[in-house]
Amino acid sequence: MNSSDTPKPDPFSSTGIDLSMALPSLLNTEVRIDDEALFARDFDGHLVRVEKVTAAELDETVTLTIDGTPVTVPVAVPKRDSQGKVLRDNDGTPIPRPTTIYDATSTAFVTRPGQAHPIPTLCHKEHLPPVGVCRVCMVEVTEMTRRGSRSKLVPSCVQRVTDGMIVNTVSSRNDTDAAERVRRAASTIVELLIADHAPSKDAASESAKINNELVDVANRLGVKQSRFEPSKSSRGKDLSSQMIAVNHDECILCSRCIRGCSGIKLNHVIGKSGKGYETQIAFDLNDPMGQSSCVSCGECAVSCPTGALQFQPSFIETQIKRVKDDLLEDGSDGEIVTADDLVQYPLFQGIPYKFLQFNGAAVVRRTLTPGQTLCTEGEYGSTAFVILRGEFEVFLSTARGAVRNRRADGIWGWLGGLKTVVEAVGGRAHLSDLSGVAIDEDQRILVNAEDVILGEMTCLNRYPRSATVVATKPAEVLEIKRNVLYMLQRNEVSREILDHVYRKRSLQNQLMSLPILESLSQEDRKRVAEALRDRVDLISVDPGQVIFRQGDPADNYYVTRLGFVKITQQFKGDERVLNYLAPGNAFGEIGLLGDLGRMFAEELGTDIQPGARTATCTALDHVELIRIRGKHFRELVRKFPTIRASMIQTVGELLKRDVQSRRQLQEVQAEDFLEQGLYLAQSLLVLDLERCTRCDECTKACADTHDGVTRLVRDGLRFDKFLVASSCRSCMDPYCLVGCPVDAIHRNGDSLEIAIEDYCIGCGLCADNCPYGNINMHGFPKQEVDEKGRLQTVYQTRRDGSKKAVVQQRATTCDLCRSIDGTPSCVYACPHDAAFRMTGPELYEITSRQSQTK
Amino acid sequence: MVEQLSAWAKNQFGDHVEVRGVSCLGRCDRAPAAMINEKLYACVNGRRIEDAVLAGINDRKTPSDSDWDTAKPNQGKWDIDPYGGEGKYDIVRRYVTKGGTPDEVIAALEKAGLLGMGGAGGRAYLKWSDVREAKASNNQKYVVCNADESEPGTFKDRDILLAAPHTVIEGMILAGLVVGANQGWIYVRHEYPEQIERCRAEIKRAEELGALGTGIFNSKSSMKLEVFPSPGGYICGEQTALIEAMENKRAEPRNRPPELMTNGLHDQPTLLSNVETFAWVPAILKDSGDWFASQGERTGPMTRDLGESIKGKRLFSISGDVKRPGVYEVATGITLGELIDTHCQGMLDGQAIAAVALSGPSGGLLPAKIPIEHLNRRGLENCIDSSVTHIDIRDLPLDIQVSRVLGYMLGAGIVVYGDKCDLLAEAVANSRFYRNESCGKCVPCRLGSKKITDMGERLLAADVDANELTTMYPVIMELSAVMQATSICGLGQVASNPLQSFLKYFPHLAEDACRKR
Repeated sequence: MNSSDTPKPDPFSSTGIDLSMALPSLLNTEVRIDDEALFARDFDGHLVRVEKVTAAELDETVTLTIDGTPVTVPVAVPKRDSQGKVLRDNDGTPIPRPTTIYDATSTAFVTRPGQAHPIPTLCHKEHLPPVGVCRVCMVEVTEMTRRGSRSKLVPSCVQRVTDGMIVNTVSSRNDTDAAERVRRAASTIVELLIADHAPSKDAASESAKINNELVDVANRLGVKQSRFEPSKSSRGKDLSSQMIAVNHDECILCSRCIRGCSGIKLNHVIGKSGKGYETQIAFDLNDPMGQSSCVSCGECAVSCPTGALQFQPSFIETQIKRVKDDLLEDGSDGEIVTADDLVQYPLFQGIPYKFLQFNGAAVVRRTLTPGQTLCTEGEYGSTAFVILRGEFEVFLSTARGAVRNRRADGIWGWLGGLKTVVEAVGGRAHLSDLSGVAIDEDQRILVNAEDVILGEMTCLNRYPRSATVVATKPAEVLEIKRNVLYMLQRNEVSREILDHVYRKRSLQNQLMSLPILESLSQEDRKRVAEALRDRVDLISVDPGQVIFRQGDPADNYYVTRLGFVKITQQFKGDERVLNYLAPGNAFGEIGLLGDLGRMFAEELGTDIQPGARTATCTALDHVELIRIRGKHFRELVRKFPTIRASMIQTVGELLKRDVQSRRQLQEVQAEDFLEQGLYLAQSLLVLDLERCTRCDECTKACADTHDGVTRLVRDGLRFDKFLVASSCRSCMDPYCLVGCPVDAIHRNGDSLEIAIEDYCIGCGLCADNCPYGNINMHGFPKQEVDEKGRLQTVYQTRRDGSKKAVVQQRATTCDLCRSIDGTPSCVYACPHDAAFRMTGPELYEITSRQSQTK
Repeated sequence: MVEQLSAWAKNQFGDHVEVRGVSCLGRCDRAPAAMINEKLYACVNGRRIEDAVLAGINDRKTPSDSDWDTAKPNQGKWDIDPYGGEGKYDIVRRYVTKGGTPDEVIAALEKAGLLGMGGAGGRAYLKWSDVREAKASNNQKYVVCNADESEPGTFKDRDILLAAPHTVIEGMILAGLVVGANQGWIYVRHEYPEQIERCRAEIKRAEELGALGTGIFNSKSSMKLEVFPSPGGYICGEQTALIEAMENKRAEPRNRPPELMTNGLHDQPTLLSNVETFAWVPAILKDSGDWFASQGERTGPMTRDLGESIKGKRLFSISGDVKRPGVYEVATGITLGELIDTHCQGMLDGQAIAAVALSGPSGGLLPAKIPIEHLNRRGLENCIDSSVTHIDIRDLPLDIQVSRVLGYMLGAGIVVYGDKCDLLAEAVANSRFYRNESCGKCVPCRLGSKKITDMGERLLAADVDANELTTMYPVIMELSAVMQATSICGLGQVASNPLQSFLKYFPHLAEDACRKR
């Protein structure tokens, strides 16, 4: 485009037409079209190449002036995810991105979560790469160089900060003329947007709920109506997706959905088609959304600032209907809490309305009368409880066991690994559901609304409830599913509430119940916990990030609050997984010891130095850790004689174990058994190949039981004469449960099987997650709720008028035939008594016995 | 004509023949123009197109037009081509075999005062030294020639690429040698099939001569050139959108900084210049810039002040109501009147000038007599009498530096409107062009270009009364100012100019449009 220089526009000079209002120019100084951009050169006029920011720049600073206030900010800031969590590389270093004027303004003027930002914006979200297309976040910047100064409006979301830059935002009180110029530009742009994209009148009430950001920005800038005529024709709707309704009229082309689809999720479905005024968001090659490769993850709708992408009412109704039916079936007293109700609670402030809608029926309100049980010890669960009012007592039902952490068996145990198991124990137990609080068999703990939340550990790690909870007063709770709990933990406002409560009420209990302190008296444990409470670090670790590496010096001890940690060991060049640690587990005790061995040399009769880490710990998903520094712990041991006395034995054991495991590291054989995670299995389908005639009756029986689709494959690992068929193993630590966007996969009640609910959206994440390939994707006729509230199969009408059921992908896995009668038909059907169900350790025992006798 | 033809085609052939109006084919000198299956038909009427379509359907040959018709007479005649029609690449040969240095070349460009010919008019030697000094992260720099000439009224590159492609290629080779790039592309709009073919052939010839490829004239230097036919429309000519298109992305302009000189193609330093800028390089380097620096018209009343800084020659495309539209190589600084009278042989049918677009539509429409309050008064003070209230547009010097001082836009495409023109209709048509060609990336351009065109169309349809005009006026002016201040690229910044300038310079015509009601 061979465009040329333009003179300074002077649109308001006198003409034949009477001009009642004379407005000053928007451009403060003369900047010509296609002139070099401001800040393209440094002060001395040298052109600056923009390089990728480095982690070192997180510590370098620049000082600029924003609205008259000098602001010093780092050159780079850490990248964050959509909930504000810092993203890190595999070594744990925050991933940097350049600091923009918008970021610097946040640093200077936004002091608490939820506070309004001085710069309004539509297309920008801090977790997305900035594009600078809406031009609402314009600020006036002044550049000072040897050649003089130039001022211009620039998009604050894109423009990087430089030393000496002078910025005036729309909120500037320092330079009100500049603020007025910015306001006129921003509000004219907002007028253009509301002329075409404002929600229609009949959608206005719906739009108020979804926090239409365009309406919010217009209100904020005082734009009541547009001086521009609205578009005469509609851009159309796309209702082809069963889940998301696309209303192109409300689309402002901010590209947040595009960046969400391709940057946050990696689906690459959404793009743009057409150009200029005709530009629209498009799915694949401009296909209807319902026929595109969209996997209905919902990210686009949650990202969308307007009503352009919304969840279909029928989708939400279907979800709610299913939960209602389940509640009815269970005879539950619960009632569904909709997104509209949820936004009223302070705990849910700041969570996108559309996210709450998407997780439509994930929150159930339950009212309890005194004496009524909220949950029973030993049950598997997938929910947590937000206490709204009333009081509950928490106690152990002695008839059952308690959830306990015990040292894991075999090599991973020597390495300091722990395992959470249900075992019949008397005496004290640690309630993982109450942030690890210790409780005696006959003790009762009272909780109320000040505790805010209960049972979040069960919700996240899917282990059985650790205690029974019974109402003592009329009570009301919100029962929430994992996705909602995750969101609560990520959303800044909710997070602050939860963290505050956690520090105040739970951290000490958690510390007191650390396994390493077991030998101490109750009083000493309390003393240690009190001393450590204010010193421990609460740290977040990102998926894939290494917490420590094999061979690193050991100096910290960790307790997982949330998430899964993978323990791996390097052996003869191979990396092998030793264990997955669920929330509530502690690891790396050796890091506490330091020179304690020398201190106790006399008592132990030897001076053992703890060595380096014998395994690598990596976060599998979002992991939250309590980190206890060795030096803090050792200070305590030195200071208090009673602690010192009772620690001797523990220290001795730990050091011996350390030496042993380091020696073991040299000797251990690479065993498929370990590598393949079979030790975690609770129900393996094992075929005795000496008896098996390969008649495949087991596979047929499985298919017959499950709508003609088999859930087992008669092939897999071989141990001696046994074949471990590819069928769900009901792992101790089912990694498949992590991350389901609709929480359709879980373990219920007190049985072992992994159940996949029929509202599975077919995204395939659980199948990807299963390390053993035991979850498969299959097509099923799609079902929806009709106008009478009945579930009906959805049909597509072909051109010739015939009907074809719409096929939807769904994940399937072995349910141990629980949907039938609870006897696995594969075992039942075997005519040769060759099929068995057994746990991993049982198989290990049999095979090692066999090999010994050989 | 489009509607008539469309109806005719539908009637005759149903869905087999599609007739569409397009923004620009780059043949304003032979308007109206059409393309049928990439074949050019210039100076057409409905009858001729119908015949051509019928011929195509019946596999019958029919004469189409060629850009050679206009380029041929100039081949070897222009000063821009020091070889008289066939390139020998002597300057490149001298550079690589006689120890040429980058400093020497840059000094010659500085002496010659060569400005960017794409419109912005930046100093060429500065851009070359910027790219030369910029650090590449992968040891790779690039040279790109912007031949995506799509501004209405601009078609000089079209003829340069046919008549003297060797000058462009030699300029690019020298640029590569100076800035340290060994790869380059000529990015040509796809409506120029003959030019694409001609450039490819010339690249092949240069390779055979040894001026291109590995070991240029047996030296250690290398340069690889290719033609990159543009996949898209007008926006692809915007320098950053062009680079995006070359990177296989949707052609949308980038936010700047960074500039292409440091972060261009594949994030590497890139020298991107207009066809003509590269084309002048051999002629300039022939005598280290002396001849070029001596050119230029410095004696006019409005050029005297700038004196020595007006240098060189340049090519203008001129079309509209002049007797001989076309591409002319003239001394920088001659007046518009001289260009029209001496080169174009005056106005068509003896019409008077009603308006002139000096930079295609992007600079808006200037009236025959420009009120001095619309020009930069400080710049005028020294060259005119205090009693003068209007400047005759014929007296405006065609020099980019003068235009900056006086405050008007000057590009490479000049469109002259005679007094029989409906200027409002022309302004609205120009406004539609920008609306249609906006990429849709940023809000002020995507929506602003539409809203301002809507208002123009209502004015044109006599749908606005005098009262409404007084309220509409400030809205258009403010929208125009906001679009200029906030759009990402030049397109959005100029999209409001046609209507804004119409209202500014021709308020009486706007009022006439209201009276039609």
